[in-house]
Amino acid sequence: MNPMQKSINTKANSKPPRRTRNKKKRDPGVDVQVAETPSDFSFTIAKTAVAQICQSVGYKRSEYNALESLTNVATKYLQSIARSAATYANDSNRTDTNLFDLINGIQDLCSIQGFSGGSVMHKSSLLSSGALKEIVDFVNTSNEVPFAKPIQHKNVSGNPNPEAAIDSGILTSASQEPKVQGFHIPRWLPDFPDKFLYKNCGKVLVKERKCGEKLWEHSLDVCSGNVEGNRDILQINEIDGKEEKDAKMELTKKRSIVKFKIGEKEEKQIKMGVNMLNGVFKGRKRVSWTNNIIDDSMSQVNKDAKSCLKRKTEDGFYEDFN
Amino acid sequence: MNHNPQSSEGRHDDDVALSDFLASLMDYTPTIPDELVEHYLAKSGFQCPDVRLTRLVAVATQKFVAEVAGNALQHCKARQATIPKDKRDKQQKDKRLVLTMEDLSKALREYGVNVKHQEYFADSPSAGMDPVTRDE
Repeated sequence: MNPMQKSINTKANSKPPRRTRNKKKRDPGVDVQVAETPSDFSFTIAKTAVAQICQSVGYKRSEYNALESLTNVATKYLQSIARSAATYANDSNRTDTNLFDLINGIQDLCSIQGFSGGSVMHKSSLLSSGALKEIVDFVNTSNEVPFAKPIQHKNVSGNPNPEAAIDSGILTSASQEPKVQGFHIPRWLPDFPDKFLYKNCGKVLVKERKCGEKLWEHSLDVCSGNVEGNRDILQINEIDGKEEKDAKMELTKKRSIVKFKIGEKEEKQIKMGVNMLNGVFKGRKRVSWTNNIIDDSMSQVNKDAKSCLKRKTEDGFYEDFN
Repeated sequence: MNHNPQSSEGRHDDDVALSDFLASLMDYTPTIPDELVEHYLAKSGFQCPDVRLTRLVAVATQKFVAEVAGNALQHCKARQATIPKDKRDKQQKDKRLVLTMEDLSKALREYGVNVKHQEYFADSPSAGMDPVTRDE
């Protein structure tokens, strides 16, 4: 064996332990820093805020589980205030939440401990709510503790790492563009997707069909989006399929009369047991049934009804009417 | 709603006080950052462009957390007060105030939240068993 190779081998053998050592050193740092999911990220921020509040109250340290569960409760509290307020807004046919909805929501959540004026909650004026006054007092008395670190606004919405932002580039680019939303579109509907997502969809599909027919949306392209042209096409399509080949898409001057035939067979008179020339069918309007099975079943039903009637008249229920 | 003419003045005062308070929220920075609150608000269908309302929600949540934490702190202090003096000296060093699950669950119970926490977690099925039987 070549001595050079040997040395290489020994080097290769000596490498693995070094790597593992490095890994051990790095691992704990990585675990602490990276939030794996967006909810993880927001939860971590919330945890920091809650820890700060605890500190301001007077605590010096905290158990890990205790802080985590207090954060959980706090986020749930915040969300239920918001949900309650949003429900109040939706109940009065609004999508935007206003101050009154929010006060109602806060009152709902404060009602567990109770507050002054809580017994007449939905009768007294909302602006003089006791729950709100407590909050005002809290703001006036407590010390202002701003959050420890500034937060980049974009990251809160979900992407803590730049790679994820690239992956969801479609969404971000759509939101960055100035909105050209019409007034008739409700604001809560999501933005329209980017044009390149749907514009060339048709090209992938097969254009020519078996009998030389075109797809409807391709025939629209020829008309360069003219609305009247579209209408013409629609009419032509209804009247005669062959006219589609006409490139100009104009109406033919002479139009044949459209006839409708329901069913290929000759009209048949149904033997329904009722005299067709009397009563309901007196006007000589006839109903044709192309399907014999239906015909049979109908007559069967009719027979049943007839026998039923007979039985009832025998019992004497309907004698008076006869 | 109060339709008495007498109370209209009072209500007017409330109105002014409230609008003052909301205006003061513009300068006040709650501990819970706006971005976080907005994230959670959007998550639960709350839609409002007004920053003051966002701040109000933040302040309400902050008040709640502070109250719970304050309650737990009282529990913690009360527990430490019950320890006899001679032992207390021993613990003087680590008399630091620590938020524990025990105090927190007591405090949260008053707010209608039932927190149940495990006494301990067993690392393995054999943990806590008699050492003699473990050998077998």
